Amino acid sequence: MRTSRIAASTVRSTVRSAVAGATPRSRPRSTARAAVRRSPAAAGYLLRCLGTGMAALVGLGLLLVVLALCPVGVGLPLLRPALRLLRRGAEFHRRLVGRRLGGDRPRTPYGERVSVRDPAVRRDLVWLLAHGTAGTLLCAAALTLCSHALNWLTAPVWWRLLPDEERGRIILLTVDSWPVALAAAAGGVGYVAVALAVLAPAADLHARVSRRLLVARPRASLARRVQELTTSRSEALDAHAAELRRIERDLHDGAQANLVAVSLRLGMIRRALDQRPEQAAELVDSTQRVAEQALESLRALVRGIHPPLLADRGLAEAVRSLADRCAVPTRVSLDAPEAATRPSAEPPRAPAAAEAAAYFVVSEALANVARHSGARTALVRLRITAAAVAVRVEDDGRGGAVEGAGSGLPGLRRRVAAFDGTTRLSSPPGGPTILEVEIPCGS
Amino acid sequence: MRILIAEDNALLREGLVLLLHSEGHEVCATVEHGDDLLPALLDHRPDVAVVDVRLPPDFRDEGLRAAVEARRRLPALPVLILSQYVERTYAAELLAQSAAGVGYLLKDRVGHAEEFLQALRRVAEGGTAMDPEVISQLMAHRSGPDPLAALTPREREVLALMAEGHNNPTIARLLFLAESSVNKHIGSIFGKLGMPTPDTGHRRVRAVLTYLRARTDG
Repeated sequence: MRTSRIAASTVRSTVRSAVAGATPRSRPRSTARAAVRRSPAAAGYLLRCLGTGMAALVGLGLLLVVLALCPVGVGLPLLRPALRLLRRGAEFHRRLVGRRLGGDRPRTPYGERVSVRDPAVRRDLVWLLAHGTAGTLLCAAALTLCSHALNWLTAPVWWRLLPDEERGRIILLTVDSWPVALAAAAGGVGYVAVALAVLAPAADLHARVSRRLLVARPRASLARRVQELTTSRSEALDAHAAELRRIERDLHDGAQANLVAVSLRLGMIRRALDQRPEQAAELVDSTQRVAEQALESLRALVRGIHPPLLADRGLAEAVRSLADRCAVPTRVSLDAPEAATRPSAEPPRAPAAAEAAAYFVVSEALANVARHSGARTALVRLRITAAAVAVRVEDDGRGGAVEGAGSGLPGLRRRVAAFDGTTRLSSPPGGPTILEVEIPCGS
Repeated sequence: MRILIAEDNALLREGLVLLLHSEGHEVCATVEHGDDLLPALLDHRPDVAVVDVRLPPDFRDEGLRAAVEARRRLPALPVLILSQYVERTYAAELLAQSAAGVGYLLKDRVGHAEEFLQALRRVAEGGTAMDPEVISQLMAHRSGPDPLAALTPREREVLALMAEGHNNPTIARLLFLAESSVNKHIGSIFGKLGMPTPDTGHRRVRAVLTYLRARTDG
């Protein structure tokens, strides 16, 4: 997938240079066109950053207050929520930066505990400081440039609408006649050109510096990654062993024992034929029922391992079938942004292992909904992209779900961690319960 | 006979109850959970208990452990263990106390109603009923000094069938021998195992026990 992206951009640049070669004079024009095309996104980015930057400034102040209160003791209970808030802000910004610069979302491995000692948290603190001050200034400057350019450009529109004393306050010139207004507009064209030239680079600069600050340096992050991967690998092995044991148990105590039950009844039929032939027919009927039950339990077992529907029709269909079988009425919504651009009408497919894990997540989650939640309805959202499968299961039940307590959540978390994925559970008392899982597709 | 059944699979449990009822036996209790087995055994003191090795909660060897513990407290309690597969270790634990009133059969055997009922009867009467699979696994296993080294191959065959729980006429039929030669072989086995005095049925049990111990130790 990465190769295809590179290939596409190579093709694009080849095309561009071919065009440029054919008509050399069109080059500046195409640069200008590119600047215009890139500007709205850049302006949007800068605007958002201005917002978060001002919030960061406020957050910085609050954090300083909390830190100042720590020695007194009052600040200590507030520190952790504050750091958590900081982390959410930083994560939001990582997404923003990731979208701006393309490629993978920058990741920073956080430690297990929310603490100032965590290098990732310290990194966030530095970012908060930089983003709240220099970042905000940069965004504000770039956006001010835009608004000024607009003011100059639109002088012929507004100068007649304003009272006399206001006409000198909008831009540097005092616009009190048509010639001045037109001159201002002409200057505005130049101003807009400067603004267009500056916007995208300013946004890129901001995004690059932010990425620098928000993403751990390779060495520290590599060490943490190795640790993460070691943990997730051993959890994968555990999950695998547990899964094997479950299958063995289901086969042993289900299918195998059921077959013995069938065999036992056949033995009874044999005896009945010798001694009480009139009972044989009834025994044959009951034996058939037992055989059918044995088949049904075998089917259920197969569905639990890797449902045929999942292999044949993919995750979305398999999840719909799960939802149909769930005791709580469940809706399924599928979001596959990349499917729209593809010619075939086939639903999108993720790698088999990721699909199986996502299926397992939905199956466990719906089992929990049916068993514990007391919900009236549930909603499963699937988002399948080339990068990841995201699952969100929400119900309107009583909430208060806890890991452990026979919920199967720890097993689910382990299984997702094995894919380097993330699991989030929110279940306040009174509901709703929302389980969100993201499984990367490893491309 | 009053019989207790410990089996977690519902279909199989119902089948066993049906079979035993149709044979005129009384099923005094059925147990599904490993934790309930020991109290039920001590409480009901059945004529014989049919026990699945693997039971909830952990599906390991709860059934076997409860049976061994029950036989420690009530030494004469006859127990027929049913298992999906044969394990030397399980046989060894079961036989560590006494081979009287002990059975260990593959679950598959319940399909042959006649043989299963016979085995059950034998165990209830204080005999043994070892699955041929158990015996052949024990035969294959050798380590350490073998108290059975002095026996001839034919005598081993006879002893193995005794361990399975067969009586002399059956052994004669199975080995295509005259009953008198079976008697002779058995006499020779008792002699070689150091049980010269004829103390009725106990000698037979002791021989079988020696045999099984020799096979299960180590």
